[in-house]
Amino acid sequence: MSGKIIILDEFTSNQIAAGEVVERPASVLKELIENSIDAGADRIEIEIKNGGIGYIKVSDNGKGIEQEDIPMAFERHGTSKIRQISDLSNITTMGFRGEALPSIASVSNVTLTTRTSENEYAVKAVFEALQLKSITKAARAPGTTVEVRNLFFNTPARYKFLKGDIQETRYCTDIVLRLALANTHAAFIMICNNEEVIRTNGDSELINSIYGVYGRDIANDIIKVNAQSEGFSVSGYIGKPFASRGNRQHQSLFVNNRYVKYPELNISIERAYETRIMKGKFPFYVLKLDIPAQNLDVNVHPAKTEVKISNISDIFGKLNFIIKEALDKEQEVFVPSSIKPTYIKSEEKKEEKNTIIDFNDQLSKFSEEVHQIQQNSNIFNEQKTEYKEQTKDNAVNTGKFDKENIIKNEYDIKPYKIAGQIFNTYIIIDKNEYIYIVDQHAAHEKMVYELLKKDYENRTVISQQIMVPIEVVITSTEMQFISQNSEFIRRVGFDYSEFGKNSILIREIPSTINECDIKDAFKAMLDDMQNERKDKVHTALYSLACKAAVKANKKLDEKQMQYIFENLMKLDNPFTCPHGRPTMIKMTKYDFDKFFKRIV
Amino acid sequence: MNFICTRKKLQEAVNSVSKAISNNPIMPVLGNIYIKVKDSQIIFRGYDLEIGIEHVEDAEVKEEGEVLVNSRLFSDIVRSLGEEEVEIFTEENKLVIISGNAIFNIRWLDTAAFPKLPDVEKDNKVTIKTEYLKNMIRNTIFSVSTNEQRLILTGALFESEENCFKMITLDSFRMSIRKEYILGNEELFKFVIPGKTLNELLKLITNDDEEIRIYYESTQVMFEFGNCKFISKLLQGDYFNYKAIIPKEFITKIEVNVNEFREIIERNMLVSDDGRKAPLILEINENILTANTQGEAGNVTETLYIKKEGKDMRIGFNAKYLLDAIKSINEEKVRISFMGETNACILTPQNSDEFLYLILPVRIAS
Ligand SMILES: Nc1ncnc2c1ncn2[C@@H]1O[C@H](COP(=O)(O)OP(=O)(O)OP(=O)(O)O)[C@@H](O)[C@H]1O
Ligand SMILES: [Mg+2]
Repeated sequence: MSGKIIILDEFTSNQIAAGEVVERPASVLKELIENSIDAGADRIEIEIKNGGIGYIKVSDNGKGIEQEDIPMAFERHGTSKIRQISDLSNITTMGFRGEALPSIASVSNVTLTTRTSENEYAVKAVFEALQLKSITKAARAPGTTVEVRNLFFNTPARYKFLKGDIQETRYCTDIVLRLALANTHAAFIMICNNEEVIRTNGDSELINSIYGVYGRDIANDIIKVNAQSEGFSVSGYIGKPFASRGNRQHQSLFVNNRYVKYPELNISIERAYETRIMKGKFPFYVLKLDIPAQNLDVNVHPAKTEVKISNISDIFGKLNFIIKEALDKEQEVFVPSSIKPTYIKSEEKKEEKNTIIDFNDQLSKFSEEVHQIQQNSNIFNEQKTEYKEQTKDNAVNTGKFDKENIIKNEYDIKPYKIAGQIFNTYIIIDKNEYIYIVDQHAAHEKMVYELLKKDYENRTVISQQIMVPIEVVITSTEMQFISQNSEFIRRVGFDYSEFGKNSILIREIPSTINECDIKDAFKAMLDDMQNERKDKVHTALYSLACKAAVKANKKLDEKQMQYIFENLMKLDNPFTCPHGRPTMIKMTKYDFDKFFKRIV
Repeated sequence: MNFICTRKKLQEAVNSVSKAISNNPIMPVLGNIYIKVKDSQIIFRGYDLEIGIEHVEDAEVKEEGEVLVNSRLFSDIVRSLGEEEVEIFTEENKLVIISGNAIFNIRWLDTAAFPKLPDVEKDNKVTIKTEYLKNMIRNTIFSVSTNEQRLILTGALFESEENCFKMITLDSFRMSIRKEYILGNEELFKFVIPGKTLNELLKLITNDDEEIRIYYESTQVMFEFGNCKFISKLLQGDYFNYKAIIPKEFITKIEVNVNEFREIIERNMLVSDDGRKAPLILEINENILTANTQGEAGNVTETLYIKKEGKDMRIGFNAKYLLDAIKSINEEKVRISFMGETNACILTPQNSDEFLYLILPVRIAS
């Protein structure tokens, strides 16, 4: 595109999504920073005061504006970025409407200082409510600075809608950090009330921008994603399930470098976390999607915060798969950081005695239980199947989506030894250099849930008939609910008939749960489904699995422990229960060596 | 207290009574063995409030008396001793155990805190050979219900019927009935014994060739055999009207060789033995029975020549239920009668009614 700014003709401008461009200080920042990016800047400094309401400044080292073009830049539809509407199908700049500067300038006082590299000096133009007040020479390195003062001073209705300084500041930093993540090739420095709040170094490494924005501690919580597929590619970082947050603040999605909200894509990503994270928690992600420009429509929203992708349904499924695969590969077991033995200081002599006895006592009890179970059977010592350490490479391979590429856990898990059960609740698995502590209920529950789900999805459920129909007494509302959901209930594997007004007779049950108390499980399923109507399938299967699973405080024999552990490890994601709680924790020999001060 | 006895007798006594002593008793006192010396006998007792066992051995008694000793320790000591005679006596607060050159001094406790074993009146009695009872229990115990919601079904029904002694167990998916003829037993009885009791009783009966006398009251039962008395609570309530669910009319009857069929089931279970319980599908076509399992790990198909009456059919089962039943059949051939794809089938002997196994099928998604 030539540097010249022109005014789009009426036919063209009429086809551009019209409406409010400037809603709050953060939207001003977004427009100005995008202009800097479009101008080819690789260093952008931002400063705000009073949440941006009082003062905003954006300076860049981009190509600048010719003096003669300045008035045009402040005209509606004045842009250098497109000439006609067909240019939109190949757009690579953020801007294209020629709306931002006039919209901002009409509700504030704007000072523009700009210099192109061909000129020896800069010009400074002062606007008050879009009126050009003065244009003078100034000194400046090549680039552009836009200062915006007194936002909305002439539109009290808009002004009233602003939140307080603190909240507006938050919106401002939020947009800046997302733009910084989107444009890793540019260094961003943001100063807020004279304090630096964001600094990225612009070395084009996304990870460094992430550190700049979220701090270095995030490094342990994220997984790299990098995959290409027909029609799009995706790269970036996703959070590990355990590093989930209480809101969606930490989710950034960029489509062709535009920070956008795209509910379908967000759902596709979050669904990949289903069963891995707890309700009310949201995954962290910074993901960049690149799709061919002709598949992208950027002209759908006046503030350019939304885009449309023509092959979205295709991408929806593939993206979900990519994220799932990345999570599966990770397969990190939750390691509790709070497990730490307490050591006794030598001054605390009196207490010391008690504590030591206690500790020893527990230890010997523990080893006694372990010993007892070991004695009962030693068959596990004989399992010497070769075990290949899974590769540590977290990045998703490019291209292929076929399931065969995924290494299943099934064969990776041996050899191991069941060291025993403790508190009648946890199974201890000895795997050479580390141990798993498995929550027997959560583990079994997860296993049953996945079996039920698979059968439900594939419609392959096996229904076991029962000898004496089980009568379940229910309320008339429940009866209504049952008849509304009868097809679903049958698909899960139940067969029943109505029996009088207030009860039903169950005649068949899903054979996967044939060892549990059916009446209890069925009622629990009904209750849970009525309370949680959103995800019926998940809720129902989960509550059945919960009832069918072995309880805590139940003694298990070696065979049962083996059954639970091995079947669990066959699953794609064995480490979290359907509600995202861990099914097992891991401790290494190194941890123990440290506890006992064998190593320091 | 002072007596001399062989180690073998002590060992037998301890083995018996420790079946009623839990490792983790509800009351600490129940972790002890009760030993009483009277006349020329030693009486050993263990009791966990559910079941009680009394074992009697004769000995050379020097002084009568009674003590409680820690069951674990006492058992370990007895097991460790050599074949010599064992002399046991109390000395103040110590119990002295002498065998060969070994002298143990262990603690004993006063017997006052030990709960009395319930008395069972000997008015009502059934007598049966230990071997028969054992087989009956073994061949039915697997279908005792584990669902505590219907407590009565967690036990086995013992019932009399015209010179017959019948045992019935059932859970939600199958039923097992065994019958033994016992002559000269006119009494009518019907009571339900907890499954756990029967499991312990099985372990306790070591001699197959003696009479076992069963004394029953309304709330408890006592088995008397050899040197042992075994007392248990009975489950209360009406047992399920099991006769009502035994089908009478069939559309297909087949006869199969028990061993062959058992092996087929076992082979099928190799691929179904995962959490999903892939069903064993039986297809009856003319005189060929095809057994097939489509499991997660793989699939297996096998055919068997059979004798058949009635229609061809196809039906699916939880293989384990079939296996439990077939393993309990001590005959060369078994008759399997079907009422249809979605109805129970029954396994019976060719020409008698000594056993009946009823199994409900699974519905196979088509
Ligand atoms: N920081 C800058 N450096 C160089 N040129 C700029 C800068 N900001 C604005 N311009 C010029 O001013 C023109 C008008 O900017 P404005 O933001 O109003 O419209 P736009 O970016 O073309 O489209 P949009 O309304 O979608 O942002 C731009 O086309 C560009 O030529
Ligand atoms: Mg712009």
